[in-house]
Amino acid sequence: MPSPPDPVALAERVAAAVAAHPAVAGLHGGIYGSVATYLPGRRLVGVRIGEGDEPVEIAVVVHADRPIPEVVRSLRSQVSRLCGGAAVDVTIADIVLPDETALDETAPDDTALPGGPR
Amino acid sequence: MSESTATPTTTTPSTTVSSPARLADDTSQGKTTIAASVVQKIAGIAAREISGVHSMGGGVSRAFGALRERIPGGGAGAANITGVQVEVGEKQAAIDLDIVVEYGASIVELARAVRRNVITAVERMTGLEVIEVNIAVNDIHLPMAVDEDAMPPVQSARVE
Repeated sequence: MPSPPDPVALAERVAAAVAAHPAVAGLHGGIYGSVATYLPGRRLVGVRIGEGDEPVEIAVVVHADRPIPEVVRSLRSQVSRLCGGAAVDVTIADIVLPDETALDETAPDDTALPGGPR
Repeated sequence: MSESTATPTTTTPSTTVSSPARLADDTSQGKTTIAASVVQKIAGIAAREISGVHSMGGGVSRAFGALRERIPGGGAGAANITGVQVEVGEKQAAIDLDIVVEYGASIVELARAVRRNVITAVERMTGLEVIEVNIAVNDIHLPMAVDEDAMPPVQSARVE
């Protein structure tokens, strides 16, 4: 397995894979807003690729329709595969209820949190 | 939300519930952190599911909750977490609930049902072991609306 050449490209690939997961409502900055990759001109919130032996960190908001351990396991194995078997720290920062999704599109409640995206 | 990471006593009170162990086995592949707001929402919904629970929160937190809902960006989820305080560790969670009961419900039975439902929901959804659910019954809701509806016809009849 070729070692990841570019942490920036890898972070974007991980972010895309995580966001595409059916149980994930969105990426999140984590409890302290510290899970992010700093890119020229912008900040990729929700993914941090550790250096060396450090774990890869992801932070997500999930849908409430399935058990979290199951979601975490599937996210972890997916991300770990992308990152060449690295350890993956997963943070479930928030949960979106089925009746809340419509409200979230107009006024995302992440804005109230320090770790909210954007 | 203070994130008190697991106390050294985490292994001692293991009641061999099947679900919490699932989070423990993946420590070599990375840590899993579940934010307090996640547990708060799940517990709040599970408590409200029990009929006989009129609303959640003590006097002060209910007032703040009503205020928060009016603030733009105050959060759509704010209504769900009123009256729910949680402490979440790596493997365990402790939950405090403030509830207002309907008049006519047996409070002991109701509290037992709320506790059971909250533990089941949180353990199933998050895989955390719920070590305690403390329930404070802050108020009792009397069916006043029925009385108010009955009053006006009597009064208007007297005026005429």
